[in-house]
Amino acid sequence: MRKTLQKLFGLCFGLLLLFILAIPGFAAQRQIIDDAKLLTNDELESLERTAARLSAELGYDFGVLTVQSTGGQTPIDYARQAYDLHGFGRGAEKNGVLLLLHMDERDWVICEKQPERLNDAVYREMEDAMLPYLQNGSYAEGFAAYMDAAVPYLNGSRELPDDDGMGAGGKLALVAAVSLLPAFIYCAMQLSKMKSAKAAVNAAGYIPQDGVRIDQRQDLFLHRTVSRRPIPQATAKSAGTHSSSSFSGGGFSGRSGKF
Amino acid sequence: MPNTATVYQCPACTGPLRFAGDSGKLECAHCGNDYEPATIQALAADKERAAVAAEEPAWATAAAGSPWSDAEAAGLRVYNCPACGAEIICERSVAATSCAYCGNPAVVPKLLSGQLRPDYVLPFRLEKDAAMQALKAHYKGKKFLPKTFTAQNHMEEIRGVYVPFWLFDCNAEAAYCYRTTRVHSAQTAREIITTTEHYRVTRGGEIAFRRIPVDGSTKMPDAHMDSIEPFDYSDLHEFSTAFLPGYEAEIYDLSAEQSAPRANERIRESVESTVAATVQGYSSCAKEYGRLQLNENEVKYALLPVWMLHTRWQGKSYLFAMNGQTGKLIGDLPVDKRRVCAYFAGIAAPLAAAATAAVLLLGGGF
Repeated sequence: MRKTLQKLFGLCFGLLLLFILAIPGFAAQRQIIDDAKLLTNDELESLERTAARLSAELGYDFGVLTVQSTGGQTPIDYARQAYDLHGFGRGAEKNGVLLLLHMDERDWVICEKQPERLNDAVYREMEDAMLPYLQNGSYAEGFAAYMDAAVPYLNGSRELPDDDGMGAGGKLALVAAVSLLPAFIYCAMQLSKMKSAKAAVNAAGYIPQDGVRIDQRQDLFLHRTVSRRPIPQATAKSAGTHSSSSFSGGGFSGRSGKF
Repeated sequence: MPNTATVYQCPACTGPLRFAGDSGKLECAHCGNDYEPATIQALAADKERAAVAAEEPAWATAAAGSPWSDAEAAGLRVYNCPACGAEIICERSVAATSCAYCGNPAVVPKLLSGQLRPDYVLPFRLEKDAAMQALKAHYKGKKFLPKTFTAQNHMEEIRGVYVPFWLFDCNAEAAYCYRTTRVHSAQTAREIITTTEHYRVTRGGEIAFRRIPVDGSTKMPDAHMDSIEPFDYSDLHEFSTAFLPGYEAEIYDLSAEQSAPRANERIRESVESTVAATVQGYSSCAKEYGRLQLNENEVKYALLPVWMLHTRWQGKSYLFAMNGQTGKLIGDLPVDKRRVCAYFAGIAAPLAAAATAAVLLLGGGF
């Protein structure tokens, strides 16, 4: 009886251990989760090592999660939930960023836990760095590029760029437009007042009342042409071109798009 | 005897049409369309007529003006300006001291000969004071007008001049052909189906034009005279020298034939836009060809009243003209470039300062 109870206890403990290990939050800390099976084992290990090293050096996690489907959730919502569920993030504030790839719809999401250490301008740099690789199917290189693009801003070797999407040139252009355009419009309006002589182009003012009589009217149908254009399907729509946009809320900031 | 054969073309694809005995229609082997023979014959006749009428319309100019009587000629004096070539008629009792067009003071008297007597005259309704007031109003609100221009130009030199005009009357017979389309779109789950129906639209009719004025003076800029239109013809009188005292009258140096192309141009533009406006309900419309013929056309010679001021400023001529009936005044003004720069800087500088401050405050610097 006692042995039976010990066996039963052992079985229950084993099951409990398996259950605990199966729950992401209790699992050993993994930063690269390739559920969509895009990476080879070597690539996975290499990226894990890089992510672990950066996490230790910067106090900041670089997570990657690839899934085939989000189960009907929007990729952004899925990324937000997955970040907490898989236990990404370092320290009390769970500092880190997650890159989600949703393969069925070819969505990507860069999702950073607030308070952010990066900004939208850096997300754009990360996007620009990784997208060419993702579009070519070179996922390991894309994930490495996504990390490399952010590292200089996290280790202090580069200052965070302005996050309004406008560099010094853009701001100068804005100042120039705001100041020069009204001045140009006003001066153009005043200059137009200086010229008042214009040659007449028609004689509409010399047609008397009831002076127009159009009595021959014939509309002859000649032929018909029919063209058919296929409606681009959702999968076709996502291929070839990509667009992206920023988001913020629910404790995360980031950027998402198609690849 | 030479053999002649008419080859009719398909209006849809321009392929050759063949008569099909069983249907009694003309059929196109290329696109498969068929047509009533009468329709195709009418289209071909339209095209031929259009080709014939493509040349410039002719005007009956013989009735414009008449010879001066000896008594009238004796009571008038003609002054010629050697600088610009203008010829001015004045009453014999009036001595012209300068050219109304270029301001040249050395005008030369000569005999009146070889010119037509006008058919009509439109008397001045507004006096010189009204012209001076209109000119002052014209200067108002012009921020870039040099101050020295208004100070130096001589308003007292405003002169009333009867400007020679040819008045063109006609009934314009028009026939135009257009290629038009109607486009419909329908959508299924997989595709967008666009159906384009092609039509050949013809419109024809007559449009009357009464007394289109074209100035017969090379010295008077066309844009100036066009811009002071319209004149009120209800006050038009048979010409009499009784309307001339106190004013000058220019003698035309462009004949009615020489002025006709400008009238033709204005008529054609009006006819085309009026006829095209009747083609409605189509997605696109392109003119294929048109035919314009001027029936019952007539040209008359009239003197119309214009107050004029010619002035020179910094070596450049400026001419202002005012409709002597309605008071409508036009004339291009000189521009003070320094004032333009000052206004531009005056607006741009504070805005640039404000925008820079906003960027520094909100954006954290450049």
